[in-house]
Amino acid sequence: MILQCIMSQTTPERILSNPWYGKGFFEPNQYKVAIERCKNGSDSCGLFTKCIQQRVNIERDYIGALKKWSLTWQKEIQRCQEYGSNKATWFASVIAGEQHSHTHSEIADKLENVIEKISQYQKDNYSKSYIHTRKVKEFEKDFEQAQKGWLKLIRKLEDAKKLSDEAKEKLTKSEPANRAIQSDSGVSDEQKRKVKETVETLKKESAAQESKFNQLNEDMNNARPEYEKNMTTVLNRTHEFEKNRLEFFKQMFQDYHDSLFRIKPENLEKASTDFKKALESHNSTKDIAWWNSTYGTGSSAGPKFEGTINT
Amino acid sequence: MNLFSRKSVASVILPSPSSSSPEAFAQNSSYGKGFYEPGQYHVALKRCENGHDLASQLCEMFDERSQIEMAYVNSLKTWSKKWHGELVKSQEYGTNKKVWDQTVTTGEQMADVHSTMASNLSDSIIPKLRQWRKDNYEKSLIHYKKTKEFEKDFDSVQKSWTKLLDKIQESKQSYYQACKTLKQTEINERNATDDDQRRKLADKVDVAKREVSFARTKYEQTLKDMIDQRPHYEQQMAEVFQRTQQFEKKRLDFFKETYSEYGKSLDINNNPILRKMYDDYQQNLQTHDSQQDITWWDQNYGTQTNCRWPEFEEYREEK
Repeated sequence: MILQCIMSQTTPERILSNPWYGKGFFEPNQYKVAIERCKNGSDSCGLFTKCIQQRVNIERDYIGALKKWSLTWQKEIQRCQEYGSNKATWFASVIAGEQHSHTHSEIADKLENVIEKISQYQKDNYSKSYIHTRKVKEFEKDFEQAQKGWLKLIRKLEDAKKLSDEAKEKLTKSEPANRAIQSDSGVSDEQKRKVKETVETLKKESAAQESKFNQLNEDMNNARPEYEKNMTTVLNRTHEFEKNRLEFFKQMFQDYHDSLFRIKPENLEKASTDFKKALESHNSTKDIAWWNSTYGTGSSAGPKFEGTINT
Repeated sequence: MNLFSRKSVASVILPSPSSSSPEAFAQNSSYGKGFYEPGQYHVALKRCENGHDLASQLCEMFDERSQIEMAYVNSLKTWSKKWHGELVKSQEYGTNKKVWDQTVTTGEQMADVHSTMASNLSDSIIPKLRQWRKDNYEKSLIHYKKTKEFEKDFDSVQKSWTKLLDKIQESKQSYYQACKTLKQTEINERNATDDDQRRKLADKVDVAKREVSFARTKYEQTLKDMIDQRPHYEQQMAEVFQRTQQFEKKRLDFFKETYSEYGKSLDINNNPILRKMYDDYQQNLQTHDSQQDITWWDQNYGTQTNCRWPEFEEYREEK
């Protein structure tokens, strides 16, 4: 089923094409994928509701059509030229045919209950009410909080690296010139000394920057476990939230199943029994005999002698 | 005989004979006559013809039902296709998505169940009805062949009988006329003013009396002829009638078969497709594993992803 889809590029499973994929969770801003997932949960609820609602509408249309058909034909049969047990059985067949509408009514009602539950879940978990703020907003805030210090460190480290690199570059550039000047007999010692001093300063500078960088790096490594722990804690809360949703959906799928299959079999059974009874009572011999006695050879016949008034 | 003893349910109209059905005794104009009376056999002919219309009505009813089923089937199929597509596009993942997809699949499975029902009606029951109707109600000009046959036979049996009845009527009239004449003549005699007249009128009375006696005998004789003929007449009429009865019984039996087949197609409890739908779903529901889904997600987007951590990067001279 999932392999069939070529359409969308952004579902969580379209791994290669999903822009979130392949990054590390702890990298800056990557936590947003967890926030996305939470928000998607709400959309899923909406989608689920829509899906079932459309199904319910189909059921209701069917039920309406069946009821109309049933009423129409009950009237027709009443009026028609049928008689006896044949008529009764015909009538019973219409009634039996209508029983399906009761079953489907039950299904529709139950599905509507499922919809209500989903709506309620959506309201409870994803909407801003005056007691709860949106859980999702909370997660976002907490992730930001956990990552704030880390981002600062990264920036500091990047800056330090830049400075260190700059210093190294300056040093490297200066060394060949220095060597050239030192071996040049036409340059004064004063100048030679000055140049040598500059190089020494640059060396010190570079060493200092590198040392700063190393220190920051070490700081970062030290801070890392704490950072990871904090981020993981928030992530786990989003996992819980999502797991909750998944469990809820599972329950809803179960309810959906029950709506379709755990309909009271008594209704259909009764319909079946009633109809079978009617079928059994169908007796063409009896019907023929009745007709015969009413309109046939069993009916009164033959003129009699009708005398005059006074004989 | 109470044919309609069932409890009423909300949408059921309690069946009661309408004025035109054979059971509406008081209002049915054919009721209360004797079958053997002239022309009364037409009610048997009518019944034969009705059989054709009833078969048509039953066809119509089943056809409408079949259409309702197909409309439902098509809606379900459309819904199912749409939502498979929606799910594929959605942000769902893992076993949760699979199970959701299965719920959508139930749509097309349910459609199959009802499709079977619809095709049972349109491919089996209705054609059978139509064929039966065609076989039994061949048309010749404006009448059905069978009914024309019956009519001809009834007619020829009843022809001579009707003649007898006419004779009876005639002789009865003559007899009444003779009686009236006698009465009048007697009155005239009583009122005669002179003896001459009285004598003449007395003669007339005698003649009239003889007339009455003669007419009465004739009347009785025609009745006797009728009584003699009656068994033979009845037997012949009954014989034709029995043939209509047989014709009708065949129809009733066929209708019963049809109802039975229809009943079976409604019985979806033992429907194997429904059974499979149920089993598939149950199986599928078992695979729903939110822990697995969460773990998968964590592996791909969470803490188990490969992270790039800052590390010492040696300076490289840009040449």
